[in-house]
Amino acid sequence: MGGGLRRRQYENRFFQGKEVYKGEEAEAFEIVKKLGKYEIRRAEKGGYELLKNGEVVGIFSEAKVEENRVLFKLSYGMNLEVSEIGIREVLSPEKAELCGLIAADGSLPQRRGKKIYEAQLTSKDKELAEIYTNLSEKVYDITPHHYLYYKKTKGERKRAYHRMSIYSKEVVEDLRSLELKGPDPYEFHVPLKYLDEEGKRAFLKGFFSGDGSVSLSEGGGRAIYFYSDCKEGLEELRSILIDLGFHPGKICIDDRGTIPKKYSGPTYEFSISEKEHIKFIDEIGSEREEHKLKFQRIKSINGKKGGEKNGE
Amino acid sequence: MYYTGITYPRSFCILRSYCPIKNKDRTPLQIPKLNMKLMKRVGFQKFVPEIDATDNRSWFWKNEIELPEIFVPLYQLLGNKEILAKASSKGLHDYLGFNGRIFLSTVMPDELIDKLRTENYFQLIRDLKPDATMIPDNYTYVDDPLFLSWSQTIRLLSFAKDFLELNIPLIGMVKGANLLQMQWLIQKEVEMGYVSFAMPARELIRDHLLGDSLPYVLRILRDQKQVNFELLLYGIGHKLKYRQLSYSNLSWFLEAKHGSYFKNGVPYLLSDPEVRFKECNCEACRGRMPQDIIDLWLRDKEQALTILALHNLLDMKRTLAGEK
Amino acid sequence: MVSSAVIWGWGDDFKDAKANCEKYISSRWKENTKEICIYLTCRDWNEGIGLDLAAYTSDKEMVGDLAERLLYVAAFDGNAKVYSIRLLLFDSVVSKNEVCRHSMEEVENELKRREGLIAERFINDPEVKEVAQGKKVVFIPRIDLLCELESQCANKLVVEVVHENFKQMRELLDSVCNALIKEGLATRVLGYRLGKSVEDMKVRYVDTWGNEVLVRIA
Repeated sequence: MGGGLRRRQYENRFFQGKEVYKGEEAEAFEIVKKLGKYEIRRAEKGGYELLKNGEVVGIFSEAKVEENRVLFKLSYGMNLEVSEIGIREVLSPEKAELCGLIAADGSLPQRRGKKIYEAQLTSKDKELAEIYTNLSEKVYDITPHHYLYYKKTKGERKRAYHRMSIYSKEVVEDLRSLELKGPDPYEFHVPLKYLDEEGKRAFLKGFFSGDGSVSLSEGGGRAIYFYSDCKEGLEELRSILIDLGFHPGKICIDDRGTIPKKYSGPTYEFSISEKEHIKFIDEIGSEREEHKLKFQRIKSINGKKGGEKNGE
Repeated sequence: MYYTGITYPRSFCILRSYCPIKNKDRTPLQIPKLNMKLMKRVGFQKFVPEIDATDNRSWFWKNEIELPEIFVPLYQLLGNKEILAKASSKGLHDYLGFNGRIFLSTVMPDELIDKLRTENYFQLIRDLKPDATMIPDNYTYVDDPLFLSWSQTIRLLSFAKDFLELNIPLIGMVKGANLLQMQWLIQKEVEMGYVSFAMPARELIRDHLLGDSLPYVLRILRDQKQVNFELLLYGIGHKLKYRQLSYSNLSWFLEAKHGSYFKNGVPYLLSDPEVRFKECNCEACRGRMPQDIIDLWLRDKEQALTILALHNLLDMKRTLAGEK
Repeated sequence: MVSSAVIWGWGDDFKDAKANCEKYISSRWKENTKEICIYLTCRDWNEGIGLDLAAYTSDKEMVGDLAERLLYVAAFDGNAKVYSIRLLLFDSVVSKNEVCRHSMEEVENELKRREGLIAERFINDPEVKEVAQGKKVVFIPRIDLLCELESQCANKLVVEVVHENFKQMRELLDSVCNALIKEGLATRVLGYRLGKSVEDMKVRYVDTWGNEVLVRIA
């Protein structure tokens, strides 16, 4: 410690913005918000200043002012959240959703010898592939490469899987720094410390779009499940649902592996209570078309059930 | 007629204490002659692993891997009152249960650097009983005004002089915001008798500054012909082209926590095809391949991390020591 | 068992499945290895039906090829996400213990018989009793259905599907079995059986919705 560039120390450790060289006349400012020891003001000519105890600690071009906090746009889909509690970096909703998708159906493989760094998503859904593309462009300004896995069959409609790949060391290192995947290559984790409420919802939406299921039976029974073969990651997902006011079921081992007994690795699941299906559909939702169709049916069943109840 | 030109020392001038100008009101500060002590080299191994004093998963000797010396970062102890109290009451050797040589690293965050005085360091060293210690760290940023980095450099030298009172081997520091500061510091330390040096290099390599400074530092050290010096690069995880260097880092453990597997000192993901299915016969792996560690991680995380960390440690030692 | 490894997971390139198998086998197949099981853990994308495929073989040269073909059957014909491909090496022939020889009719009769048994067994479960006062209780058991297939390129193939909706499970199972036969991995279906007995089942979730109590059993 104590070497190299002081500016980088400040950027990395204290989230402070770039240096200001005050050679020109002072601009006129309008105070936008006061949050504890922080003050945010808007410059007449544009831009925002962040002050701590009266001293300018950062300058930003964009800010979103909310009741209890202000969000400044940083790079790579990150926002700086300033509130009375303090400051922290949070994922933008787009980046949170992108992370959710990767946590469910993506990976961050690396072939060091060939210097290949990849952030990829593999999905059977063309919609998810398009969502991944849109989110990558918004967050990283990069359009992923699009590959297709085909099954070779004769005379049948080809079915394909979409593999969307971002080849960028900076992007992969950025995602790795969130500890989204790993240490085991088949493990995932929720980047809890970077998620505000909006981010939690977006992350859940992304994850559910990949590893969630909505099941409807003829008798009107329905189920919404989250699945994974990573129990720790699933526990973290469950905890953020609880933070958002849900009461998800406990995590159960998916009792398979009858063949060959006890040698297979388990998968895990938890369900969303039927009472909270509508809340889940409205607040979290999914990007997959077939989920959306089933959500519509659930809502209409609910509407009928509500009508029956009122009619009793 | 007295000189009262632009460089005349005014009462408000903050550099007065360094000003050589004499007048009827002041006598220039006498730069004291530096003390001198005959010192022997610490005798660094090619690779001296740093451990995490607060995480016993990095205490590799518990798994019967034997290496003769380690670095213990002081700032980790200072950040944890409970651990500091235990280590201070027993001494580091008893606290860690390590029989080899323990070197104390004073590299630490700036806020801690400012807080500690000589007497604080002396008390800590008395209690912790390391086998050798670095002299206290400072902060010299290349984008700071030079006055700040020079003040820090002089402060470091002052500590180097104070530390001569200690009866344990000392490790001088190589630091500076520019080559002149590094050169000046090295020369003053050599005058005092220092022969073993540590150069914190993590931030320099990150900011692409090491390439210029390291060859210059080596040249300065070689020019001190009466000195048979040794130089340790602190905080670097890969081998550089220069000879006569030792290395110390914690990356063997940190990378293991992130699931990286070292091969010839280069970290790979466990699933990287280049390493995934290749068996390793080191003392830690004993025929396992990274694939086995992947599977073990799913069943027993702690054991997987232990094997991976130990493997990385042994690989790093082999690579940095030039062993095959 | 001699050794086991998850050599492929979702996110790995499809073409790595074969290569990874062959690399693993090249160092881990020993003289005393008698049989290997290639085990795929999957889940259907639409309904979340659990799908497992297991192929047993004693021919180490076939392993990579089998793994790749099973992956494509599961992903494309089974319309399933393949969570992992695991290789298990055994020092004896274990596949002879994996026998499923009931007809589908026998399985369906058994399921009907179980409906009454399940209700009888779990109606007095404390978790159920707590919320069931005056409400209609609906038991939703998870069904575990296995199917054994004969094969010429493997010692045996076994497919397992797990879900609550038997009709959807059957559709998926039939689709996968037909694909396995069409791809030349299997020659015919030998039979079926149910995986779990009522005695081994437990209450998983109890959910109340209006006047109904939904009890999921597995």
